[in-house]
Amino acid sequence: MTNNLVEFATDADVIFCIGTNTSECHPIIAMQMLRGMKRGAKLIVIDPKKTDMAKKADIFLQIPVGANIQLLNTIINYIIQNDLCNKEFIKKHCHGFDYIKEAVKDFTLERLEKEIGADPEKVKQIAELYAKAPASSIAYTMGITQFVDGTANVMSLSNLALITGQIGRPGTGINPLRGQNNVQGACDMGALPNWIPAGSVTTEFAQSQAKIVWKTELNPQPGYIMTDVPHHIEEGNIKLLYVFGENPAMSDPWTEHFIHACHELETLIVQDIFLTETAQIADLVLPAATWTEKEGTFLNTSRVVQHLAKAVEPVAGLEPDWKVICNIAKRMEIAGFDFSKAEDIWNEVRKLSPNQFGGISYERIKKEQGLAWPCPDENHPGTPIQYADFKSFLPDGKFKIVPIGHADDEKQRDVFEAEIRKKCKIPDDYPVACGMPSAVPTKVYPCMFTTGRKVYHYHTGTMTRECKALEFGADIMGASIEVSPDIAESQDLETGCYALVENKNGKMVAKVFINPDLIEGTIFTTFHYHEADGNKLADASQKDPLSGMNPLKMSIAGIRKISEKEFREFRIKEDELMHPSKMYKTVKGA
Amino acid sequence: MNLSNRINNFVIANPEVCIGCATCMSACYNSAYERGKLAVPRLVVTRTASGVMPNQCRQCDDSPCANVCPVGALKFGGDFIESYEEICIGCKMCTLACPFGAIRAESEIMPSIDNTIVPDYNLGLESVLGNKSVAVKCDLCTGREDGPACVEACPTQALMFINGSIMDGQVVSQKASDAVESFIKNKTA
Repeated sequence: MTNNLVEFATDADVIFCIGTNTSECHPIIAMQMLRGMKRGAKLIVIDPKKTDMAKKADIFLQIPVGANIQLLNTIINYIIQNDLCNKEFIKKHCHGFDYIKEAVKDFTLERLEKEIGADPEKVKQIAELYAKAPASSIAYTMGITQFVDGTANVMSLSNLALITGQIGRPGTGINPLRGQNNVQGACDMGALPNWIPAGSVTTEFAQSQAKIVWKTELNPQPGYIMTDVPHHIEEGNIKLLYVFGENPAMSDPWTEHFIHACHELETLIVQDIFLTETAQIADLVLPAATWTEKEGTFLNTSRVVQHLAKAVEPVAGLEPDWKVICNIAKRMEIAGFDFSKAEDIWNEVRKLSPNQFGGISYERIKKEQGLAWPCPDENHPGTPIQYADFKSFLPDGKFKIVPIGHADDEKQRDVFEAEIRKKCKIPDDYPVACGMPSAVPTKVYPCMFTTGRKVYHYHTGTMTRECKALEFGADIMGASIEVSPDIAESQDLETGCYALVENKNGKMVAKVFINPDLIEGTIFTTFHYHEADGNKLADASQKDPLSGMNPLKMSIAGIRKISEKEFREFRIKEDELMHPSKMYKTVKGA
Repeated sequence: MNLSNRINNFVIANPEVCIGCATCMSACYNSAYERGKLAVPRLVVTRTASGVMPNQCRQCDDSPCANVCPVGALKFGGDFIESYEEICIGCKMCTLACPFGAIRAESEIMPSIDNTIVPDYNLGLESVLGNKSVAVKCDLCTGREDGPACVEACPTQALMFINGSIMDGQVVSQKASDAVESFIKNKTA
């Protein structure tokens, strides 16, 4: 997030939520937003599902799955055409305004209404509200990123913030709401194939920092991206997979393919606090200490480094994850892993990335209850609001507005990008991007298929499904397939009947729940349940060219009613895949 | 007769601040489990076209459920409708009679059943284990020292425990005097 999450409550005048089911996925942030609304802030919600926040919103616009670029380009065009942009900000701090002006010219309200059925009046209201407010804040999550054009979606949001100057001040900014308490930290620490704490491995700075601090030559070649891993296993490029704190057998798209690929591995090691579905197909399972049993730092969604104190001793002499990794490194006789406590590792991070973390000492984060990076020295107060000086991270300090087009077909991406370049006379070294649907409903698979979360479970339910108060208390609904009323009618489905959803990637079965909150022609399901995992149907073959993200939120599928007998048979088969050992079956075998 | 002596206590949510986080349902499950009741939530977070809030027993003064119960499992108590799950025969008349959908027929897997050995409940087919169902509804956490667990757990203070004196004072008298005050002000202005 460019800003602090508390600013939704204290500063934002308009909160622009797109592709986020905030109250179910980020209830704490939703509470901040509600506090803001009580103060008088206006809430805009844009989503294919009429979420709980949508029902509280001042303006709710329901758009089809994956129609973000068309909508955002139209809003940007409306803002430009009606002179609502912040000209001074653009002139002083931005590149590329003329490019985007040209690129969005054809995205009119009429065209948007024709293409996605969005009410022009509402779109106008949203544009005016966002652009005119003293402080407008954008909040987004996976409904923006988990598409083949995810990066283009994010750039569109940044364009919107830049042309209106809604950045660098309290209550503004572009705010991806992070799902895990430490996902920002995981990225900053280098849990990415191209990153070390000092930045991208391709940069000179990272290279020299590695030489100084780690006393090693850094391989400038980025590693394999996560979404390519199953493919590389099959190709024989990856022989060993070491998974910790994750359950990819359920969370990866096209689950069956991932599980199949895992069987080709020479060694699969899983380190987790519970025996996850991935651990059940592993060769070696290592136990792990839980978060209450270890000491260290979390880096939250507002970029705040927070100290985590140990509350209890780990059971059975377990070691924290960092210690396990160090032990393995020592056995491999790799130098530089002689840490005695978590603080030592943190201090190394500070040395590696002094501009970002240099001033964030343990002493300070304990005393000041967390500090937001960048914080280059011990006297620096931290940076709760990024870009407060209106300077970007680029060498000239200016922001780039990236013109974004929209193609009808995934395969035309390059053609379209070249066309935009030509049309807007953009030089070759200036970035352009293109949005497109990754799947269009066909005769065989006539429904849009998307996934999301339920408030009571977290991701693959590794922890939450072990918690009885959540599993049997909050979640009395269980695994379900939610369908829009028009699908229910055409397929003769009723709430409570069993149905099978399938596409070329996989099949899943569960009870049906007819949900009038869904936009028509849409099936929604979760990925919390091993017995009904929505990710099985996600397409792993298509990727965002920059991030490698698969279109987890956008697939096509067919649905049909099945009998209780068929349901049982499928569940037994499904259990065989997820829980191969007899010991851990959740269904009694046939 | 004083209103506060006559009306039942009850729990109700404010849909304006409820975010549907279902923490109340977890708390309810825990409270029921700890008090030796059937371990299921007695309030259900319900989503409609206009919003979300938990739905639970209103403790009606002349309650249809207590009137219809043939065995006295639901009974008029001093200040709420008492429920005696152990004598419920599972006839489901109360479920039919309740105008709020606040009473369900529920059954629980016996705690002695280890789901890794007898895992059938995960199938979602209620018939497999053949449990007898009983009527469950909010009993205001009878026996719990700090009162209803849901009210205590609600992170947005959407859930409120209303008793006769709150009803008398904050709800009725306060609203009445506000209304009269504004009426007189408008008249004299």
